[in-house]
Amino acid sequence: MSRAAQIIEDLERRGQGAFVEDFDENQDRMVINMGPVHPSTHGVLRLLLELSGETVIRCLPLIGYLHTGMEKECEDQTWRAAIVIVTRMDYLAPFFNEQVYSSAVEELLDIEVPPRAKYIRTMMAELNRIASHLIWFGTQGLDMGAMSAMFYGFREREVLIDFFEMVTGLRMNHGYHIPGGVWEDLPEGWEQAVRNILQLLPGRLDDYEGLLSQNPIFLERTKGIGPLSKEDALALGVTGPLARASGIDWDLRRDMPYEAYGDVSFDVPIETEGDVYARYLVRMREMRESVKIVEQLVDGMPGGPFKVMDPKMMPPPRAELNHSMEAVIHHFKIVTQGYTVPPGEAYVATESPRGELGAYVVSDGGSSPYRMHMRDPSFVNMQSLSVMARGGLVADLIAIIASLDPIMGGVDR
Amino acid sequence: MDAGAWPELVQSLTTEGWWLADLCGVDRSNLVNTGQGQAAEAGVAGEQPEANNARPESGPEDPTTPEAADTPAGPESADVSGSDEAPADEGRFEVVAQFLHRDRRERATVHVLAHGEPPRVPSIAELWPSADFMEREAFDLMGIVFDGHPNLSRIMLPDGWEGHPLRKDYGVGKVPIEFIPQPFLQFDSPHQQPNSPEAGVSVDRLGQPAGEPGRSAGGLSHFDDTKIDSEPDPSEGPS
Repeated sequence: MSRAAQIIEDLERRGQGAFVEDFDENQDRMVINMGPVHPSTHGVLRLLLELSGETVIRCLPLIGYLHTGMEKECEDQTWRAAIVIVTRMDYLAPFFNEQVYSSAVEELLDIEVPPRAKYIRTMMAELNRIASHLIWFGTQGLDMGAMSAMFYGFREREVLIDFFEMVTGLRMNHGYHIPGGVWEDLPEGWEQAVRNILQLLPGRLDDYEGLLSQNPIFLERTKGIGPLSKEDALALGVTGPLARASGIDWDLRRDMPYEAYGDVSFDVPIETEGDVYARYLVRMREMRESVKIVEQLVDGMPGGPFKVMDPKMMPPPRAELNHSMEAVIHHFKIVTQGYTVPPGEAYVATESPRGELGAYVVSDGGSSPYRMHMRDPSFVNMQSLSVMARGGLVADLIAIIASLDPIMGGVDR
Repeated sequence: MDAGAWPELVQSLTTEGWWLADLCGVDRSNLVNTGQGQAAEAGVAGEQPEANNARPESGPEDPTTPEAADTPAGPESADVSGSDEAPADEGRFEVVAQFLHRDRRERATVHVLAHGEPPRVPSIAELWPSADFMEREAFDLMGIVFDGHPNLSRIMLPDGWEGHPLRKDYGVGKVPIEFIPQPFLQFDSPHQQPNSPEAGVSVDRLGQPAGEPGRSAGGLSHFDDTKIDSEPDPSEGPS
């Protein structure tokens, strides 16, 4: 039995009882709650900690505080309207949620989206990855005492969010990727806007690395902290930057390419230490790789339609509604009743900023999903916290949570 | 496939190099009754169209395991799915597991039928620690009982919740949204009397946890001895 399995079993075998059972024999132990309203738990994560002095003996994540039954709600929506719910799951990476759900529906519909839609989706997703990693950078720095990292991370994210707003009309929860393509074409001036961002980011990333990478306090608090071995990472289902920091050379974008990832070249950063610092290095380099990817996508952006022009599933263009009664009827039917999807099921996985984001969609042939399940990387990665935190200090736990980069909206759904 | 052979199948898959990606429950009641479920099942059992991953889908089953040999033969019936053999009324619940083979770059789906009420499936949490949370989620939301799971308790919903929301007979909006002001701290169980015999340990000795949330979701404070029951705070914001 691996170390991970042992720890999980020890924790789960008796549940919370494990924390009380040995209490009388161990007078020096203390059981405390961390969260769910704690600035370092990144949302409403609650941890039950058993401490001996400052050493974490056991750490059990208790989740569910943000559960809103999104999977159930999707069953009540049309295929297209479910996007609005899906995008709110992992709220820092909304494009990924929309993309993976749309891909699953497209697989059921057996349609291929036009190349331009693929490129737009990939570009938005990669910019979103940078934005999401910038939040991680800010919070990781803040939790380690580097307040300026928070300001800088959010400053650059603002630039990206402005671009998202320019394209989609919303800063978050865009609902931009839809089954069959994207909702609207890129607006005028998008290329200049992206190029400005691409010009800005590498220099700023240099600044960030200058701030933290060699900072002795930061190194002290991250190197060798929260180690996760490759075997444990595999056993715990850990994916994404966490897995790559533990030496698992796997990236769905490169190894099972989807959307436009087959057309671009990029490196997948790998570290083998598996500690918080390795995760820091992986994410910092991932942002640079994303910049490279977006550059190639902008250069190679194809023309043509940006969504499937199938009148059965796409409402007519807005302009037609002004003079055609048929178009109004058509629009009304698509919006209110939606379209049907052939019976079947599909599981599609993409590489979100936090790991393998999977959408499992079942259709019964109706106009709304029969079952929609998201494999959210935050949820699965959360289990590794117990393994990483054991034996460390409470202060290390803060660093570990930050390096885990959990989004509670995705964990609880 | 049948639930009984599920752990052995997982064992053989694991030794073959498959990695457990996902596990969730599906309530197929409406699918089976309409007959569309069968069609869906048949479509699923074969290879999935690879619009996304551009890799051939192949079945995970080890030919040496008997249950894999029992499934209807055919080159494309790769998926281990037994619902076509089972009577319709027994095929209501299903555990769907996704596997990934990193070296072969293939994905595979395994359907495990859960029989009875509550539906039961053997747990694979011992083989895959990652299945721990996933099984708890399937139990919580779908009501599938995983035999042998070390701690099968609700994970998303409060402990005292009735019903399993993802079941098809549990309507959307069944539970009205209520905003009832609650006392900041409320101890309402006999176990929570300090120094009571069944509690085993007193609230004081545990130390009233610093940061213990008076505003936490009711019942989600699993800690038996210091159960705190109050309404969830809708204003809990993102990180």
